[in-house]
Amino acid sequence: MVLVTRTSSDGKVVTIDISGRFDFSMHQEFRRVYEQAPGSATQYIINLRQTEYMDSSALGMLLLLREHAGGDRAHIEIMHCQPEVKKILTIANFQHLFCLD
Amino acid sequence: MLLAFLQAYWWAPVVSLGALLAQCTQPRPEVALMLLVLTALAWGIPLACLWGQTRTGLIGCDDPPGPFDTLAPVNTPEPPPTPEPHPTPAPDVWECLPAIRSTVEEEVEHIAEAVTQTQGILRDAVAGLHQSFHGLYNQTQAQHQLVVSLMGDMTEQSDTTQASHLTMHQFTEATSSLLQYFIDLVVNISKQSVETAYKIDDMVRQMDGIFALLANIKTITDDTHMLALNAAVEAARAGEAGRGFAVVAAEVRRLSQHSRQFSERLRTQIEELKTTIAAVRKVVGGVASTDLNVSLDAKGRVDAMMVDIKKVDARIAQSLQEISTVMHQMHTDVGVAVRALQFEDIISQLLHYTEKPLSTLRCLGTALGEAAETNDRTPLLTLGTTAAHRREEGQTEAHKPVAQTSMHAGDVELF
Repeated sequence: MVLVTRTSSDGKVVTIDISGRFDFSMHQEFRRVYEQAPGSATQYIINLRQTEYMDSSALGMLLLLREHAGGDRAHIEIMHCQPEVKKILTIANFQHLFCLD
Repeated sequence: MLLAFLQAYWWAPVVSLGALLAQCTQPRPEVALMLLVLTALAWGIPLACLWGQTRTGLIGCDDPPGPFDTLAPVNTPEPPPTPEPHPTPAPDVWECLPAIRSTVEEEVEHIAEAVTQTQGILRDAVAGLHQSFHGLYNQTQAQHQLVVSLMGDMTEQSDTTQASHLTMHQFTEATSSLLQYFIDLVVNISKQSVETAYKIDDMVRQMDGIFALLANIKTITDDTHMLALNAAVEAARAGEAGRGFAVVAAEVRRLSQHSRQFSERLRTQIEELKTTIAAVRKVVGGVASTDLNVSLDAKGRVDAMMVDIKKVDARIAQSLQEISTVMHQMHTDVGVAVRALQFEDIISQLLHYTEKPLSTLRCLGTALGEAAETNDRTPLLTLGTTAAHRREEGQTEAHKPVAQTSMHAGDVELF
């Protein structure tokens, strides 16, 4: 599976593991994850440990997730980034919008 | 000392020996007197010279006796048995006097000429040097100001309010911010594209709803068709009475067929629309997916350039500081050189001072000439007295016009 979702027992934390290429081909699946998440979800954790590549559409998807989760009130953590992926997130100034580890 | 004496005045014993031999061979009284005088001279001159050298401390000098040395016997006591009324210098000395005079005068003229020439050359050279060093002084000052203004430019950097002033640092910052703007734009476009793709997905889903509705229409059409068929069958069974109803049933059947055709066309159209929408989604996906590695590389290069430019700026600032120090040193050195050029005054005065000794030497020449013409030594004696008097004067007062011996004394205010 390219995209795996886990929801915490209390339904507040949704964790999304993404492996391989995080690009436009994943947009429907990614959207489905957060649209189908329980309404009680207040925190999202994006685990990019297995992510090898990321393009601008992935950044767009993350921004749309942020809007879906409440914009500035959203609490989204992006964790375990590979160095290349982290560079991309940094040049897009995502450290100001998300919690980067 | 004895060896040196014999080497210089070997002819004295030879002359004495010759005189003795002549007296032995020709014992005449006139000849004897002449030989006696010759012998006295032959021994008197070297001895007088020896006395003079001992006084001046020049003993050991290998120079043969000069013309002045031959004058020495004038002051030496003559041998007592001379019958002549007053002592006369040796005839060869008197013969030398005109030659000595001309030599002295020529040398004096040479020296005077050389002194004049030296003064002229010195004046011109020093004037040139003065001009050159003053130019250099001004140039170094201008250079120093340039360096100072450059340093000011370097340190001002982004603090400046002048729009025309642009440093490399600002240029790189502008490039960096432009790149950031580009990246933000790309991310924003991607976000909107993905959003568009989501909307397209919604649209496709809604179209699937239309398909479901179309399926309902097809069912209704089929049912209507069946109903029309049944109505036609019932009308046929009714016979003549159902003739009108049969016409209605046929119309209903025709309508249901039209309706089926219509729904089929609608389905086809929507299928085409779905294909088109799939193509649109693909295009939107292409717009959304920008490879950020290019931007990443560009940003990395710009960042590296920023670091390099900061280093270069620091190095330039340091170099300018060093140049400024060197310029300051150069400025001071040129000032010292200009001050040192004062030597011209001193040298000129020293050269001017040579006129006095030269005039004395001229007088010597004149006195020698007079003595040779009149066959009288009075002018020479007068000259000797004057010279001695002048020496005494020279010892009592500072006769040099310039007492300075080095250029370090004194300072000059540059103008």
